[in-house]
Parts: sequence; C-alpha cells; structure tokens
Amino acid sequence: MKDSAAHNLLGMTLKTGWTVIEKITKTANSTGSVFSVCYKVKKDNEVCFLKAFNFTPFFQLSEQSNPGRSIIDVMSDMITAYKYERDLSEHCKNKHVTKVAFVIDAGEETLNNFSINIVPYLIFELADGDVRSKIAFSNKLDFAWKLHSLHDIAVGLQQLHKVNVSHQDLKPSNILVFHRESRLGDLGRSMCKDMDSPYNKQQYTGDWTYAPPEMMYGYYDIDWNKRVFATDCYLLGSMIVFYFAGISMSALLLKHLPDNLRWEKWRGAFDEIKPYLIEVFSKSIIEFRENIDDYYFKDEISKMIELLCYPFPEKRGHPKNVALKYGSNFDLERFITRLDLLTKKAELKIKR
Amino acid sequence: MAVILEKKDRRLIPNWRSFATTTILGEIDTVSINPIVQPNLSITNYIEDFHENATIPFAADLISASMVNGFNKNEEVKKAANFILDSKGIVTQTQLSLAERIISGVKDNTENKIGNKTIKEFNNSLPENDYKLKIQHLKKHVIEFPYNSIAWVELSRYYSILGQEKQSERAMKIAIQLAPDNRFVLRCAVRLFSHYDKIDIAHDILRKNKITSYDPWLTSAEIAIATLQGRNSRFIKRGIELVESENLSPFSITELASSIATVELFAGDRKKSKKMFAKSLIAPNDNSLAQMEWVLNKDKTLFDRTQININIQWNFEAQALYNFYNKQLIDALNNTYQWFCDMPFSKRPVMLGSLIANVLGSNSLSIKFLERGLISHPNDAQMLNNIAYYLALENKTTEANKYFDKVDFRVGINKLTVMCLKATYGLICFRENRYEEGRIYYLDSIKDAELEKDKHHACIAILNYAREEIKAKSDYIESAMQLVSKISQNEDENITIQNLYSEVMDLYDKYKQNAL
Repeated sequence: MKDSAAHNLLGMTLKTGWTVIEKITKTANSTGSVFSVCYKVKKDNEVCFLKAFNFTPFFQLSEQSNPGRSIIDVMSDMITAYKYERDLSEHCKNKHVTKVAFVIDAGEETLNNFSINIVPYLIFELADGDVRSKIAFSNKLDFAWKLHSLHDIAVGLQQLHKVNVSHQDLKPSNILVFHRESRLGDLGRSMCKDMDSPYNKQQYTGDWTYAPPEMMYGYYDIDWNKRVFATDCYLLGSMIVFYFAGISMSALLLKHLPDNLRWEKWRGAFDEIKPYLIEVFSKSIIEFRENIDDYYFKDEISKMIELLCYPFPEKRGHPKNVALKYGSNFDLERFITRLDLLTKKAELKIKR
Repeated sequence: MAVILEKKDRRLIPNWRSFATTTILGEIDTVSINPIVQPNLSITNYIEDFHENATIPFAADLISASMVNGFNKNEEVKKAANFILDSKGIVTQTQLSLAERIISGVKDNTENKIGNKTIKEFNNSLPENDYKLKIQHLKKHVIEFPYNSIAWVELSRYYSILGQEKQSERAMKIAIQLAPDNRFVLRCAVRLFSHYDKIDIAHDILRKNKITSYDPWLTSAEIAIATLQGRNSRFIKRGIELVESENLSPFSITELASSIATVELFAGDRKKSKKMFAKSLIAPNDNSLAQMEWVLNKDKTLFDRTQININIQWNFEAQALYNFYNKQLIDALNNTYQWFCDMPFSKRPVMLGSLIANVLGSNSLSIKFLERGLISHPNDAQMLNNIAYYLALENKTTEANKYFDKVDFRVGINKLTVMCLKATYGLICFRENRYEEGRIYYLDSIKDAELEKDKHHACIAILNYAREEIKAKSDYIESAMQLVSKISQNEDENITIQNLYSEVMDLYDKYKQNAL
C-alpha cells in the first residue's frame, strides 16, 4: 500500500498551492473509502482535508473481482469516479446546495519512481470529525444536538433531491460535523439524473451495511426517481435509528429476522417475503422505541422511522405526500419541519 | 365409558405453530434449490475504523455491519461486541442486545425448550393466563401495526387455544385479506378451518388460489383437505410433477409426497404409494413422519422402519404414536405432553394423553389432560364424557355429574359419543347405587355399539358393565360374564381392552373366592 504514490504526498507543496502538512490515518475524518489516502493541507492559514485517489487497491480489487481487466480500463474507471465527484460537487454548489461538504479545490500531482505516478486529489473543508466521533448514546444533553444534526442531514438530502441528486450512501461515516452543523460528505457514490454518472446503471451504489431491504432481496423499481429517492428516505430513517438506538436500521431488521429468511438465503421473490418483513419491521420499531425515555419524543421519532424505513419502497414516505396528486412520496419537507420542531422542543426542555 | 382415540384416517393437514417455530423448522423457506449469486462483501473498513477508534459508535457500526453482512463469527466483531457489553450504562439497549446476540450466536426462542419438557412439569404451568396475556399483547400490536398479517395469525392461534372460535376466525380472515398468497398464512388458515370442521372454507382457500399449483406445501394441504372431504383433488397430477421436479428441495416436497402416497394407498396402489412415501422420507418433517408412523401401524410391511430417520425437530406426534403402539407408555406420555405443548389447540394429544394416563393407572392425570383440553374445546362432548367417566371411576359422582350435565345434547353429537355417554351415565348410576338404571344405560350402549358393528367399543362397554355388576355383587354378574366370554382375547390388541379385561377377570376371580 505504502508503495503507491498516493501515500507519499506528505511535505509536498502541490501545484494548487496547498502544502501537505499531515497524513491522516484511518480516523474519524476519513470518508471511509479504501480507494483514497487522506491528508491535512494548508494554504493561507486555512487547513483543509485532502482526499488523494489511490489506484493500487483499485487494481488489486479489480483483479480479484474481474481478473484480466486491462489497467487502462481500471484507470479510466477511477478517473471517471474522480471527475464525477468533482463535477457533482460543483453542480451542487452552483444549485445552492449548502448542507454538503463541497470540493473546494482539485488537481493532480505527478510523483516519480512509482509505477502509477499520477495522484488526482480533491480538497474539502476540514470537518471536526464524522458523527461517530461526536455522538454519545448515554448523554441526554445530546438529545437536542442529535435532532439538530438529523435536521441538517434531512435538509441536505432534500437540497440534493431538488437538484436531481440522490446521495445513496448516507451512513455515519459520511456525516461530517463542522462545529454545530452537520453536512453530508462523500458524494462519490451519489447518482445524478442530469449528469452522466458511472453508477447510473446500478440499482444501489451505497454501502451494503445500510442497504434498504428491497435491495437486499433483489427488488427495485424501474423508475429512477422512485428507486433512488426511496433509498435515500430509508437511509435517512436508518440514520435516525443509528442516532438513538446506536445501530443501523438494516441491522435492527436482521436482528429480528429468522436466519433462514435472511437476504443471502432467500431464493424467492420480494413479494413473498413481504409479510415476514412487516412482522420483523414492527418488532424493530417496538425495540427502537425502548431506547427513548420521553413519551412524546418516543412516539414522534418512531413514527418518522415507520414512515421513512417502511420495508416496501412504494409505501415509504409521508402519507400526506402519498395522498397528493402531484409531487413525490419521498419529499422530505414534512420530515424536516418535524425534526425542526422536535429540535426546538428538545432545546426548550434542556433550558427548563 | 371413555371415548378412546377415534380410528379416523390421518391426513396431512398442516401443523400450526408459532411463526418463530415454523421458521426454525424451515417450513417457510423458499422451495427452490437454485444457487444464489452473492455480492462480494467485506467489513474490513469497519474493522479498521474500530481499531483506530475504539469507542462505542465505531464498535456499534462494526457490529451493525457484521449483522447485515453475516460476519458475526469474525473475531474482531466479537471483540467489538464484548467492548459494548463491557460498557453497560453508556450504550443503548439495542446495542447491548445485538452484542449479546453476536456473542451467544443464537436467537432467543423459548419454544425451543419443548423437547426437554416432561410430564412432571404438567402441574407447574398455568397456560390459560399466559395465553390471555399474549392475546392482550397481540391485540395492542395489531392496533398499532394493522398490516402485520403474521401478528393476526398469531392472535388467531392464541384465540383458538382458548377456544374462542369467532375471534380466532375473524383474526385469520384479516390475515388472509392482508396476505392472500402467503404460505404461512394459508397453511395456518387451512389448519384453523379444518380444526373447526369448516372443511369447505379450508378447501376453498387453497383450491381457488393460484399459488397452490406452484407451492408444494400448499398443494399437499389441498390434496389432504380434498381427500378429507371425500373428493378427488385436481392437484394430484400437478403434485406428482412437483415431487418429480429436480428444482425443489426434498424437504419442501416431504408433505406433498406423503399426501400423494396416502391417496395412492387408499386407492389400493401400494407400489406407487411406497415410492411416494420413500420420497417423503428423504428429508421428512414431523407431519410426514407422523403420517408414516400412522400408516405403519396399519400396514407394517409397507416400509422398513429402520430406514426412517426419526431424529428431526418437533417430532413429538410421531414419537408419541411410535411409543404408544410399542407399549412404551411412559415415553409415550412424555411425548404426548410435548406434542400437546407444541399444539395446545389440538384435541388428539389430549385424548391420547388421557388414555395413556388411564392405562398407567392415573385417572387424576387423565382428568388434568382433559381439563387442559377443555380450554380449547370448552363444549367438547367427548372430553366432558371422559372426565365424567374418570371421576366416576374414582367414585366422585357429584363432580362427574357436573361435567356430564355440561354436555349439550342439542348440538349434533356423533353416534360413538352418544354410545359412550350412555355407558358413562350407566357407570355414574352404578356408583350411586342406582343399579337398575345403570344397567339399562349400559345395555343400551352395548346394543348401540353392536348395531353400529363397532366391536371395539362394544367390548369396552361390556367390560365396564361387567366390572360394575361384580363390584355391585348383583344378581346379574353371570349374565354380564356371559357377554364377556364372547370377547375373544385375540380380537383386539388394544391396550385399553387388555387392561379392562384383566381387571374384570381379577375381580371375577376374587368374587368367586368370596374375596371381594
């Protein structure tokens, strides 16, 4: 690993004027990708986060999963991924998206003495850490902070949806905390309807650990909007579960699912498993509720999860949106309002 | 006289257990054996993150990833789970229980323990209250999650255990509306409606459902129900195709093959029947095994018992029948109790359990079995008769009369039960020293049995009658013994008749020796 160019940027001043001041090992600041090496960089007293694209593991993995594939093809894929993340960030920035950690600079560096000597990189604002480094499950004072953070995430998702982008990879390691504000990180796996994405042909591009049940059981809607926004709804619900119960929604579901009905053993259609998923889902909601003491918050938050994480994508979302003639099931506006209200109530409760 | 096990033909009506148990048994697994394409999964990132940041959120993220991706046996995951378990007080309940699950490796299922139960535990439980609590809990659940068809089925099951037929049917109908194509729901519905003798409804549920043609578990149930009605099933041909298909797992076709084998056996085609039974026994379940046990009791030469794998889960009925037919009564009693715990709404384990207890000389245990049975079948004339009979044998005629009076003669009671009720009333009369009246009822019962050509029950009635005449030291002992003398000892190998016969002959000998 250390033989790759991406691992050897420390101390360099890049063509873009940034000086690489510290290598970040696998810490809370990382975006969770094995295909990147992370550094702190400095320019004009501003310290930022650099994500260097690392070709070596990409080759290794590609060799394992698809032996015989040419190096050119692999490089082309990686360059496409790099360009896509950079351009998508620009696209979002231009469309007034605010709750996303944007690329503030990008470039490529060439290092000698490496078989693949080019290192493309992206520079982001430096976050305090991802949400896992900030969250505490026992501290009741954190309750208002958690709701505030979830509100930020919902706003971020909604902003992305408005510009036809679906994040697809919402998970704790991709929630970056900047002081009191939370933003969505790692647009690398996002899908954009208006851009030619390397992932547009895939049904689900995010982390399997957080995948919604329909994806696990191989079911997906042909309609792009329905498919990707339903996934984001589920992922938002899953984040709420993580904030209060401390595990992902999919883990909670699978905890209650009998072993022989698990996704890796099930050979039947998604329709056949639906009654069992409802049973498991209801048990999961009941268990989730036990993690919140306050009756008001318990009901409100679990209701949100019921709507956001419903195991069938077509029934996901707010019922009032479903009833509307126009618009989408998966519009998050009502959830944003709800989270805002709950944040305020939780803050008032602390002040009292 | 007690109604003993009716010699009805056994059919493969689906067994009805809780959802948790049914899933463990594999009866709702997919039937196909086609391989599944698995995605390349890895939790390396999560493990590295936890190494670098040994805190609760990172540990929780790792155990979440392992739960979803099936890496629970990974040592690093276990470390994270232990880390969470060691941090009680600063972790959530859900994190704790997931960590415990990962460390223990099993899901908590109390019903797993049925196989360890013995008859000694019979007095320790108050199941009626447990079931009422479960109903209370499930009623709340379905209010909150009205679309949960599985919860409606569970509710229906508990209602049926408590003998609340209307509520049970209503809950099941809702479940069918919610999941009209679901195997678990449909099989439970079939069992419920056949339990309440509404065979037409049970049959319609399957006959009109398109999925019955594709799902061997349902095809099997349809064939069983159709033959129970005396009809020819139109799914037999399709059933044979499914059994002979190479795309289905042997376990998924076990009941179907057994159902078809039973039909072939009744039709007289022994060769085909044998072939189908052989298929059903490749990977049997408790139901197909119990069917085999029942068939072997009728025709011992049909199949070599040594070739049958009886070590399968929840095999209580087959084991009970096997031990009972082989006169290993203590084992049979324990198995029957396990069978009853497994399916508390079913009448057959109650009747068999009370019979075995009686043969073993414990009428009080027989009564306890029947009283438990009355919870699910509150007005069952056969159970009421049997309780009255066992109480009368203990000279508790006042209590016996109470149960006897509960029999509702306005509802249709079958001839066999009427015959037994007459004999039981005869016994009560004898024990209340109303000999003349008792004699009339006994003789009437014997006459009924003979008219019905039911030698078996005629023998039992005669022996019961003779015992009472001897105990009463009446003038009719010799005429009663003349009836007894007509009973050939080889006529029936039935254990009840053998026991009664010995008892009567002992009493008669003592009477002759003036030792009574």
